Amino acid sequence: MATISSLTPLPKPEDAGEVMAELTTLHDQLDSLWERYLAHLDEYQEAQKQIQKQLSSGFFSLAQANFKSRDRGRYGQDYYDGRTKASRRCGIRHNDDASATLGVEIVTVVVDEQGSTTKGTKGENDEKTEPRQQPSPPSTPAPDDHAQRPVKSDAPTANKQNEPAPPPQVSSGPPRDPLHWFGILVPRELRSAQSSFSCALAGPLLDAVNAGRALRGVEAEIRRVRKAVRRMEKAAGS
Amino acid sequence: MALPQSAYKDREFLAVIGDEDSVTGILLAGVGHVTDPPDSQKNYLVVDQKTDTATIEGAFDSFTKKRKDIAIVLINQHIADKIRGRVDSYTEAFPSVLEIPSKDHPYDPDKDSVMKRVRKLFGE
Repeated sequence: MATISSLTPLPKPEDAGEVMAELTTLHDQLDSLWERYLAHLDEYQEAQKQIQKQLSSGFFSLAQANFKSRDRGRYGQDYYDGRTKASRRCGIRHNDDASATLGVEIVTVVVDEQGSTTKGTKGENDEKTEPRQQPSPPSTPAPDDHAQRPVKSDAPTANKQNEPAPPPQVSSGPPRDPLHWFGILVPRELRSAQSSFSCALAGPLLDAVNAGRALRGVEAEIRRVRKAVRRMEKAAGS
Repeated sequence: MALPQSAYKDREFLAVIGDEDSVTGILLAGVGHVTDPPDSQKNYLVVDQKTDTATIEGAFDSFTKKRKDIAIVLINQHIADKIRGRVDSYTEAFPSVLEIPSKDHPYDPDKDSVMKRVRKLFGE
């Protein structure tokens, strides 16, 4: 498919036949752009439906958790950690395809004790370590550091990077989990709410953001081609 | 067509403007971030009945214009309605703004700025 930039500046057609041919090409391109636009629009609407579904489930679980602990107060802003650091961040990639759009994906951040961060893409590394909680150094070097950590066997990236460091420098603290703002023993419903919101964030929310961005891009192209069609039609008319 | 990398290379956080339950839920997912002192900045704003429009506008402007580390701004649709002019006129590529439903206000496509743009394009 020809890009829009190839259409400008418009050629000065010599006769009506050339104008009509050019006009047909432009109309074909416009059709193709509308097709893409409608596909992205469908993605956006579908993603919004899923967001509504996932967030409703999360709100329901949160309401249940609040109902269960009425004597304790709401699970809300009174308990937020004022020094929290994001364990989920956006990774922006530049696509190489013709659309040249930017994508956004969630990356999970691993924080070591020195405060430096390592990023992994979604699902690649779910491990997080707590920088503020200093573990007491063991009297003898730990024989197997991996055994002390709540780590998945298929997520060794950060561990490999830390291998040259002596064992006391490697964190054995718990993962930084916002659930801990609300205490150690939190109701099952709050975990369920966390799960619903996490799923919404990693799935439909990002789909909607990406579809919205794509819509904006195609929209600009449609406007450009429409303008070119109008100019060409004017040229054909004169 | 493609944006320069400098336009988005430092953008890594999600920001949220919403009611207490929405913000709590989104923060539970692990996106909450407070920058280091002395100039600590949160990437969320809890809006309640006492929050005035100027505060919401200030947070929206901060997330979309001042801060260069925000990639996505999530805003409850009923709160976006309070600053509708600003949300609808926002046209920058980064950060992306997405309107989301809240507990008491389901998503309404007629109010969504993305869908408004779609209708405008169809109507042209």
